Amino acid sequence: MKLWGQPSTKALRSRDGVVAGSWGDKEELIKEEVFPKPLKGVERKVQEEGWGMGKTITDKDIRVALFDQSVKKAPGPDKLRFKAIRLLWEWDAPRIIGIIKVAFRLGIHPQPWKEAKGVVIPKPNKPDYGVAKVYMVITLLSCLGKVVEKVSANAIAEEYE
Amino acid sequence: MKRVEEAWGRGNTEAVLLMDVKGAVPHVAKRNLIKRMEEMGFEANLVRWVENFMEERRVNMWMDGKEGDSMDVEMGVPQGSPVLPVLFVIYLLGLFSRVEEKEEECGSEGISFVDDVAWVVEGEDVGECTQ
Repeated sequence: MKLWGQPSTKALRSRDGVVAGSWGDKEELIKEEVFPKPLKGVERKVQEEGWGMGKTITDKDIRVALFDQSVKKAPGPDKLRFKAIRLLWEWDAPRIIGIIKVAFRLGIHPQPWKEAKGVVIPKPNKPDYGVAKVYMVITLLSCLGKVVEKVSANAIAEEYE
Repeated sequence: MKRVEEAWGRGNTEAVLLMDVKGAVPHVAKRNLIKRMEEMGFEANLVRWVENFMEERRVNMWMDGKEGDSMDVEMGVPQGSPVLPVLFVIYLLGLFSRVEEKEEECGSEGISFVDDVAWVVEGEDVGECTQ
């Protein structure tokens, strides 16, 4: 097991055989491998009716979504772990509930929760570490954002039934 | 397994086709997912939230202890999000419904867990199953 912080990722070869030696070039190759680009198409027209008529998210829905998630999960870019958010819940649950309810009423997932940390990790036991596809990226998201995502997941599953 | 044993009991062969939907999660296209949710009649607010959730995503890559600049992620559901499994199932439903029409005809069965899918079919021999 290598220690974090050591320069350990080898120079990578692109599909055309170009060698990426610098940190930025390697990052670019791995990014291309892991995060594809969509095909160009016509943008969808946003549906306007039904604004503000959404399913009501209850305090209990939010509480369940928070306490269902393991405190062992790694924190995202905001460095807040689930343990911290649970503590925040003890101190000021109405504030958390308020933010989450507004997000659903407006149909918005606030930008800070859409910024992820992508940790590059080599897949084990590969014969050649000189190509981008043997690396995976672990996406770390904000834990508070994950509470919202869990509420949404539960609401979608409930509506589907 | 029970299905397989029953087929053997009838002197038949059971064929299983295992699929792993390759690179599926990072390839989820927002437009198609949203269209499917609308077709399925999900509430407008929930659909709008999902649409917003998938837009303007950014990632900061970390490699060898060093952090890169924030970069756009243009498609896919973020892996590690609690909403990924439900969105992914909805996304794949279009594919499944087409296969299910066929299932009626040949009595096959599909089993899936996120992006691993298995199709099971019974026939007299391997040749019949693959048809």
